[in-house]
Amino acid sequence: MIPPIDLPPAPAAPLWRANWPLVQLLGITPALLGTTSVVEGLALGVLTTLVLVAANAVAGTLGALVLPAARATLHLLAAVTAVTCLDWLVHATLYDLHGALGIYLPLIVANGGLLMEARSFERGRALGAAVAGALFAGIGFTAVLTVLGAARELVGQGTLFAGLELLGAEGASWLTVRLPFDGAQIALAPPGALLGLGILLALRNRSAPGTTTAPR
Amino acid sequence: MAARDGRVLGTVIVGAVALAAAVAAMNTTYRWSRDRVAAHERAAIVARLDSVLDPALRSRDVTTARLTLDGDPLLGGAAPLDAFVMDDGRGPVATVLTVVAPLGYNGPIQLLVGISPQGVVTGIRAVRHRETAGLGDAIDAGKSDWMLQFDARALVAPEPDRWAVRQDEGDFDAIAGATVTSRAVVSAVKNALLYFERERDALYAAAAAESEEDDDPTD
Repeated sequence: MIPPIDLPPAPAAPLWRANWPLVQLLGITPALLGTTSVVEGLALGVLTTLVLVAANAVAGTLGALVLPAARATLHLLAAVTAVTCLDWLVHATLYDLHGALGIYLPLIVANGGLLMEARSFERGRALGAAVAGALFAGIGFTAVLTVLGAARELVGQGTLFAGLELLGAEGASWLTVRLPFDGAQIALAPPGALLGLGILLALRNRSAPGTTTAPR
Repeated sequence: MAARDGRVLGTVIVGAVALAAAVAAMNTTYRWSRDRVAAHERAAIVARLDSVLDPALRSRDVTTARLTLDGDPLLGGAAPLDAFVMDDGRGPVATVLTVVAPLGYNGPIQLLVGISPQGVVTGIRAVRHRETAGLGDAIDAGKSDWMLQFDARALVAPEPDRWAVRQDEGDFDAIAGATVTSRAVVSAVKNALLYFERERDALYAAAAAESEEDDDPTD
């Protein structure tokens, strides 16, 4: 029997107080491996947000019509459909971004944060609060991925905002910052991701001590 | 009990409708994306082809015939490989072979080799490899100019037995710290040129037959 999961106290909690990677330690795999640059972190975060909003909207709308036990399944069905469609849409429109994200785009569906959201519908959740919660969780997740991507890109290859053309923004490539050093390879390798996440966690714990575990 | 039966029925109906909607959404997205993805893939290959061709050809109107070659030791293995022959209407002007350097440091290295009709290298690019980051990955054109040293080389310049890295009495610089990678690439390029020398006429004949097939309106 899986213990019941408590709802976050407020829709806005996952933005910071219950942030997925920094507080609940969810969504770690994409955070660690899919974020070697600002562009990748941002793209992965935004795509996850879209999936979460779609899934929460569907579960929030139809959840009241079905048995509580079926609500998580409904949420997952919506999430899987959204991820599959987004994967094809990105492949068709932003072909190079699809190549850069690789396996981490379809893996959005296995995000721990997403799965926890699915279970939270078993106790019923109003549509408005569910969509708002999805937005806040997604924005909090995107922010962490982007910051982590920025740190790794800066240290790892001495650039910032490289690859903006992957997002279809060729005109914005003047934003790319190139520092006069080639970078330390370790920041781009998996150990660099662990270091980066560890530093962010430490900073987060300093700013709000005693709240590292999932909120009650 | 009746209320619960109602919820079960509702669950079944909502579930069935949701499932049908999901299938319809995925089906529509797939149909919309399929052709666009295929177009991107073709463009990605063509973009890579251009990088190994004589720059003078880029502004000219050439048709490209795609061939599938049987595996050959000189191409690096037994698996069939793609080749492209460019024709400007008066005859073949360039050939691009995809070849494999089997003895890379971390496994096979896949290369695009552009060759002029005279057997001169017009460009080499690594398209797939797992060479060590920071050392062997200098074979990527974006990371170093190492690959550019093959431009304008041919089997007569240098002589075939000088097609080796300097450590092996050859004429080519090796990447510092990645001699194995360098050896693998030099040898693969040399073999590609040997293959071209041996098979040029057959390649051109196959490309001409391929183009004719494409022109057939009933095809």
